[in-house]
Amino acid sequence: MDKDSMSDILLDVRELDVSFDTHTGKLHAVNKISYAVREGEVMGLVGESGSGKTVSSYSILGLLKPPAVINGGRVLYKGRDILGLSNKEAAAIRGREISMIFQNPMSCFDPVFTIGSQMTETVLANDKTASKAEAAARSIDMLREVSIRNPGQLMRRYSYELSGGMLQRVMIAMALLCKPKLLIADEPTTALDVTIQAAIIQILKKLQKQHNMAMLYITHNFGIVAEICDRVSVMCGGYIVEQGSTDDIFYSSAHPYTQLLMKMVPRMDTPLSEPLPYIEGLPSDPTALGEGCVFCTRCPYSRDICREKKPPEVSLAPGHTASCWLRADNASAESGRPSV
Amino acid sequence: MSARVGMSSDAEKRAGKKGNRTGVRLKVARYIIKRTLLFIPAILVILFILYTLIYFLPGSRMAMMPISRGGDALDSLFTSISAPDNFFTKFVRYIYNIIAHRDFGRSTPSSAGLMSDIAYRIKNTLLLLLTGVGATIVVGVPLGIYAALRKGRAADRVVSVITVFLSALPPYTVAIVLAIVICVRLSLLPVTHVASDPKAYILPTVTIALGGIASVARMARSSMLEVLEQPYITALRSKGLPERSVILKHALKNAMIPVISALGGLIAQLLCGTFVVENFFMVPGLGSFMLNSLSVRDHFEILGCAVILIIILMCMNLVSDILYGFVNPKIRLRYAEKPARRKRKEAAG
Repeated sequence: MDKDSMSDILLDVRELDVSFDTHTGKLHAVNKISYAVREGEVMGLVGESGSGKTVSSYSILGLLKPPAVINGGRVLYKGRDILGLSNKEAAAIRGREISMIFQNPMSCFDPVFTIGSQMTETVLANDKTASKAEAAARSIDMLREVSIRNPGQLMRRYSYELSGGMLQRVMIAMALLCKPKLLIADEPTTALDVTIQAAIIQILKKLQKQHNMAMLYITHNFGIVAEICDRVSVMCGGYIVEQGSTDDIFYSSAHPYTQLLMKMVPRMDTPLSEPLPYIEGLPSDPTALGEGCVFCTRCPYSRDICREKKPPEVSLAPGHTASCWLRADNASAESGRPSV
Repeated sequence: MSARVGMSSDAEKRAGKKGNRTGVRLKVARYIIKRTLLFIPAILVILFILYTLIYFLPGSRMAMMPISRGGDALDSLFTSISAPDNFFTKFVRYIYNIIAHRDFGRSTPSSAGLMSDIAYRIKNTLLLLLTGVGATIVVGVPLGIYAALRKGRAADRVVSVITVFLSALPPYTVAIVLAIVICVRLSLLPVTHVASDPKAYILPTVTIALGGIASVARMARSSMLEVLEQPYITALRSKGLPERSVILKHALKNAMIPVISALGGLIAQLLCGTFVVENFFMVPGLGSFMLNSLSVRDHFEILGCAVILIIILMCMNLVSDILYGFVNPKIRLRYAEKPARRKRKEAAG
């Protein structure tokens, strides 16, 4: 963690622990993860499906519903713990301080109200002094900022009349209507095709700079991470296994999981006949997490200790940490360093 | 079929591109007028089918109807073309009498005619039906929503048990139990209908509504629960909307869509319920009148009542269709763009 710059930390997630009560027992979705987002910074949260990225972001805004249970930890926003706020208190933060954009724009709009009424309603809910006309004007301005050509007309449309790419822009506009300090983007481009993805990311990047807004960007796409993130946290099986600046993660990744993930990114220069690479084995069962490292069953370098004890978090460079026994050994004694 | 689906979605897009909501509203008004006008051929077809069935009954009084009324416009037409006295001319005469003389025919020369007999009965049946439907919606919907918001807790369980119990009970059982407990044991309300006493309508209405309340409450509960699981509800919360407006504005309107679309069928069901209930509580309504006509085989009255019931049902269906378009903008657009197609489908179904 960054002890040197505690002052400008906007969001500080500490030992957040979330599980689901299911019929087959407790499902540990997020296991005591800690990360921080500084003001104006883009933090990437990367990991495979089911690694707890979305659950951890939902818990920041208190959007989790039963059977999800928050077992512990704190989420400090500007130094104030916002975990477990009442609906009313949380509503004061949502939209105004922290807002969120979601994975599937097609299903994130109420189908029986127009886009315009949903946007103005957002303004009115968060700004009691605004009039209806002001709210509409602000909505139109914001739609223009996300490069929508005909905002006045679009306001009268229903969500099912628009394409996914359009809706994702509208969703971004809606999230930024009340100038939040932090935007949580939960895989905003996953449901879109590649050309639209690029446009959406450009818009997000531009607006993030313009408004000097912090962003928590959740994705499994390393290309996007390289494009917009300042720092990255890599999640695996509900744990953060490695954290560091984007350069740290790309050029000197320390955790075998991160290294493998990077290798799995398809490259332009591999022949088409070659099958796409993948990490062997299945993600560990979150209802029955063992004593050891969460990645030990799939890790090519796993040893006895990996199966027996959780690896400690090891600091490799300022701001770069990894939770791996390989690195722990490396830190304590220069023995058995693998050539990876 | 697939072509039709494709075309209607294209039409929606076209309507959307115009972005002209007042235009849509105008077209919706036109749709309603067209639907109402379409009642006429629909009723004629139904009349013809029912007339045919009754005409060919052994000893049918329809077959005995004279084709001459004695000096009206149709008579002179019939004489001028020297029309034969058969099934078709009698059908034409029957229809003409209804339109020109508001006369549904008489089984005996001394009877006063159907219209004078049932005008007052229609009022009773409509009153029971409308209060029944009203009570069903006013009680059923909030009950279902409340249960959905309390999902899995004691209140939800209680509502579930009561609604399952009520929907399993046929109206005649409910009527008997209510009459025994409230009228006989507690003597709070009159057992049979007294025209001057508005309290006499309470038990019949309650009996009719109970079954409806149970099914509407169950429908509202399940559809509300489904809506609350939708991603857009989470998205609305994430924008900082107060919980009240998420539930009462957004979730409620969406949850009402399936409830309203089921309303047409429910009204038909309640109308059948009024027959039993009218008979039991001796309310002089259309149902008890029709049952009586059936037992004395008065074919003119049976056919007349059937037509009036069909008109009532069609009106109710139209109202529920309009309401459906009101909550669901997708349907509203379709009403605006494809009236002819929809109507044909509905006339068939």
